[in-house]
Amino acid sequence: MKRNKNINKIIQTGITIIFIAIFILFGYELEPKDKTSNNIQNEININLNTNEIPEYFGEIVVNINNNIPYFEDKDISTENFENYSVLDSLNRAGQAFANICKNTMPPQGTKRGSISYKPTGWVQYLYGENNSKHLYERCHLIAWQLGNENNNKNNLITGTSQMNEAMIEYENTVANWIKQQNEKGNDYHILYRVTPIYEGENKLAKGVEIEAKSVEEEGVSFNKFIYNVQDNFEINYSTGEAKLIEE
Amino acid sequence: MEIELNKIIQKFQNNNFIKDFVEELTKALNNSNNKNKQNDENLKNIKLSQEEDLELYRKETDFLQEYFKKELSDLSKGEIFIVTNKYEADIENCRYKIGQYKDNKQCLQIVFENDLPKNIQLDDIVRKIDGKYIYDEEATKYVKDIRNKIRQEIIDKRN
Repeated sequence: MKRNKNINKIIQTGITIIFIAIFILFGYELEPKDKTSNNIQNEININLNTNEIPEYFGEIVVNINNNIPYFEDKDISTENFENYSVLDSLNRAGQAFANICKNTMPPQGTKRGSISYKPTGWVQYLYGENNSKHLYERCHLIAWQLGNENNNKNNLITGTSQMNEAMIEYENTVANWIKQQNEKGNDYHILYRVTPIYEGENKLAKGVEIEAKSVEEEGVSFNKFIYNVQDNFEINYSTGEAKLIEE
Repeated sequence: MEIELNKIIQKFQNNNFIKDFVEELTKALNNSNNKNKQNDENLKNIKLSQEEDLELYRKETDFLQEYFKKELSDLSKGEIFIVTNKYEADIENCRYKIGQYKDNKQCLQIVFENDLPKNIQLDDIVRKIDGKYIYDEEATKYVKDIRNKIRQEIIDKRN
């Protein structure tokens, strides 16, 4: 009898430990996920304002303003527009703001041309076997797949391949929603604004803020900051020069 | 009176001298246009260094900002736009982008080929009058000439 009691206790304790372990390991999964960013791996839900972005702390994507874009009522429109800041006195691209819809997107199957322009901070670093890897990519602020602006200097910044990869996830979210709505016969819009953030006179942006909001109905809404960083690299943001710490 | 006018026009049309003159004039104008186009193309084909390219961007942007500021302050001739982009892969009713320069911004919008004047080209200037886009030949020539001049000056600095 006493032996049975002991066995029961052991089983109960074991089950409790398993539950606690499951909760600790996977507990955050119980919270609803951000519906626009299921594929993003390195994302953390801290809430910042644009003017208080901390130094990179290991998470490449962070939420800004509780993930709510800063669009104002006057911005909400179904008119097509794309506004690109002209380069500043240091030749750096600034904010780009567009109302994305099927008409702004290139038709499927279009091939993108090459780009010769080198945005500020472009000091390419090749590494890996036979220099097969590269640190920097020319990042479109308004993605080519959204706005068909390829070689427009006002739409290009130097970004790490890791930042570009993270940006593409959000660009795809926007493109896919527009395409899905089109398939349903809806010519819907998404307000989309990308703001590169530079510290002082740095040639390389610290990162980009990407805001998006669907216009006609709820569907897409986010406000993210993506750090312009690359694992294992030490980057000098004032020049764009970089050093590989370990491979 | 109308009949008289028609008679005169017919006489002119049948006159060999005038016929030849009009033909020659048309040829000369076409040649001149082709020459100008060729010169524009040749100028654009001269490869610029990164620094020269940025200098060209800055000077062209400064000019376009000033030009649009002036033109947009008086809309009596219609709202002015420059053609900046064409969706090359469109099969029918091609899309173009037309733009303005305002407050340090390049402001673009999509327009369909059917809504634009026929044979529109990149860098042409159009004006929106009563909802219709009209080709502005004079403004197009002016803007192209200035931009070519800027480019030429940058190239000339090499020597």
